[in-house]
Amino acid sequence: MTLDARLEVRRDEFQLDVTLRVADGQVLGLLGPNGSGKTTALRALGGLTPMRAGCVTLRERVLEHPQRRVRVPVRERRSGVVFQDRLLFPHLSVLDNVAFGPRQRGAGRRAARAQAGVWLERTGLTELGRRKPASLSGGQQQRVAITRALAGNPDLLLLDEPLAALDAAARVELRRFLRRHLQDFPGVTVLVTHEPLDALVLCDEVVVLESGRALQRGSPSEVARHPRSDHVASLLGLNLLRGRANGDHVQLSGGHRLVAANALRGDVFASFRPSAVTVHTREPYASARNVWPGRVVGMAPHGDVVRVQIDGPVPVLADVTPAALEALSLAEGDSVWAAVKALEVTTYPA
Amino acid sequence: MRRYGLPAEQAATGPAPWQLLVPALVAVALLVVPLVGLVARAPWTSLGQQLTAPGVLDALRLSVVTASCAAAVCLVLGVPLAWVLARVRFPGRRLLRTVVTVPLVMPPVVGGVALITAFGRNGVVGRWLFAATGWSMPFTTTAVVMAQTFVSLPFLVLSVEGALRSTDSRFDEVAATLGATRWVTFWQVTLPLAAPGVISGLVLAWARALGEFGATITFAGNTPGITQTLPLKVYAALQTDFSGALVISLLLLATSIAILVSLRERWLSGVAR
Repeated sequence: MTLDARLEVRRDEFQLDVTLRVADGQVLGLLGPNGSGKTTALRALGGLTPMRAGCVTLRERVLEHPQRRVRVPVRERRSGVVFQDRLLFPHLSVLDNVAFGPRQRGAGRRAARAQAGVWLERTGLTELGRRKPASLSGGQQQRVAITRALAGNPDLLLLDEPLAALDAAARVELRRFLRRHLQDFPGVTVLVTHEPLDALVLCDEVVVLESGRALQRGSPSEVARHPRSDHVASLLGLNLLRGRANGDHVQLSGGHRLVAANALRGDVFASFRPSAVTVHTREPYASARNVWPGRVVGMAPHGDVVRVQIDGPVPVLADVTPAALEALSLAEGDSVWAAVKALEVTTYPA
Repeated sequence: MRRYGLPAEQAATGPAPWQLLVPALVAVALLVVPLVGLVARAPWTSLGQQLTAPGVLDALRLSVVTASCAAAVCLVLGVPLAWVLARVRFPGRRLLRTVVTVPLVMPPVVGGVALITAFGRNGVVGRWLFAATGWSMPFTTTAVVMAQTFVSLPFLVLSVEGALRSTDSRFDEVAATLGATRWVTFWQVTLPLAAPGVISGLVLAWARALGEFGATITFAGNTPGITQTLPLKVYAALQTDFSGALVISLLLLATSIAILVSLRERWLSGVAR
C-alpha cells in the first residue's frame, strides 16, 4: 500500500480515529455528514492538523508518528491540497499560481513558468494564464487550483469537497475534468465529498465516516449495494449506468435502451435513485418508459426500507418498503421486472 | 412617498432626536472652528515669503528626513513584530500586544523621559553605548528619529497585525503544501495580501512621526538644524513671531489633510476591494 495511515486526532470533544489504506493511482473517497471528521482526516494526512497518535506512511516514508516524535513539515511532504474555496493567490496570475509549486521545488523563474505552461496546456487552461483569479468563474478557479496542486508534483493529492461551492453546470464540467486528470495522476488521491455521484464516478474506494470513525468501507458500488445504515444508504443511494446518448435515448453497454429526462449526445453517465425504481413480479403495463427483467440477488434492509439488488442485463438497486416486499413475497433468486420513469433518469456527459 | 430631507429607510424610524443632534453639532464645531481660525488668521499675502524664511525650510527638510527614517525603521521592525503577534502562538502574546500599545496612550513627554533613562549618557543602554563608542544619543538627529519611532511604531504594528489577521491563514497552508518555507510564504504570499494594511500603517506612522513633539523635545532638545523639526519650530516661533507659527501650522495641517485624502482614496478603498 502506498498510503498507509492511522489517524488519531482529538479536538475538544471530537475524536477522529480511522485507518486509511490507498494504493498508487487509486482515488479514495471520504464520505460522511458534516462534522463526521472528513476534513479533519484530510488535514491530518496533509500535516496541517497535528495528530495525537497513529502514523502516516507514504511510499514507505514515515511522514508522521507522534509516538516516535516524527513529524515531517508540511512543505516536505509532497502532498497537494485543494480546498473547497480554491484559495488561489489573488495577487498572482493564473500562470504564476501554477508556477508557484515548481518554483519552490527549485526551478528557476523561467523554468517554473515553462512547467506551469505545460500543466495549463495539459488541463486545457492555457488561455487563462495571464488572468487574475478574481476574473475567473468558480469552476475555472477550481480547475486552476487543481492544476496548481498537480504542478507541485505531489505523491498525495488531497481534495476537500472541490465540487461543493459550484453551480450545477460547473459541477458537471469539473467532475469530467477531475475524472480525466485523476486517471492520469500516478499518486494517491483522497477526495472528501458528500455527493453520491462524485463517489461513484470518481472513487475506486470509499470510507464512510461518522463521528470520527469509519462506519463502512469498500468500492462505491459495493457500499451502495449493502449499506450498513440509513445514512450510508442515502450517501451512496444512486444507480449509475454508462452508455451512449442520442437525444434522450441512451444505448447501454449491455444492449438495452434507456430513456432519460434530458437530451445529450455521446458518452454519458445515466443516474437515478434506488427509490425511483419500482419492482414488479410480472412485466408491467405502466407509463414507465424504462422496464427491464432481472433477478433478485440480494436484499439489505436499512431503516424503513429494503435495498433490493436486481441483476440482469441492466443491474439496478431498488429501495422498497418491507410491506411492498411482503405483498410481492419477494425472495432472493426470484425473477422480477424493474421499472423507472424517464423523468427520474438524469444523464451527464462522461 | 419619500419625505423631504429624510432618506427612505430613515423615514420609518422617525427623525433624529435633538438630544443626539445638538451634541453632535457642538462636536463638529469644536473640531472645525479652530481649523477655520487657523486658515482665517493665516498671513496669506506674505505666505510665500514666510515659508522660505531662514529656518523654516531647514525644519521642513529635517522633519521629512527624520519622519521618513522613523517610518522606515517602523516598517523593518514593525512588520515582523506584527507577523509574530498575528501568526505565532506563544504564552504572553496578549501581554505583548498590550505593551506594544502603551506608547499609543502614554503622554509623549513621558516617552521622552523613558528614552532618556534608556539611551541617555547614564541610561541603561546609553551608558554601555557611551563607554564603548564615546557617543551618546540625546540631542542628536538620531534621537529625533528614535523618539519618532517610539511613538509611531504602535500605529504600524496594529495596522499590519489587523491586516494579517484578516487574510486567510490557509493561504499560508497552501503555500506550505506547494513546498514554500515560511520565509518565502511571508514574502510572496502573506505580505502581498496584507499590502494595503502595511501601506496604510506606514502612512499613519509617517504622519505620527511628522507631528511628534513631546518625546522629541524631551529626548532630543530643540536645536535648529539638528533636532528642531516643524512642530518644535512652531513652538519656538510662538514666543517671538506668531504669524510665522501660523504659517508652519498651516503647512503641517495641509500635510495631514493630504495624508488623510491619500489613505481614503487609495488604500482604504484598496482594502475594501
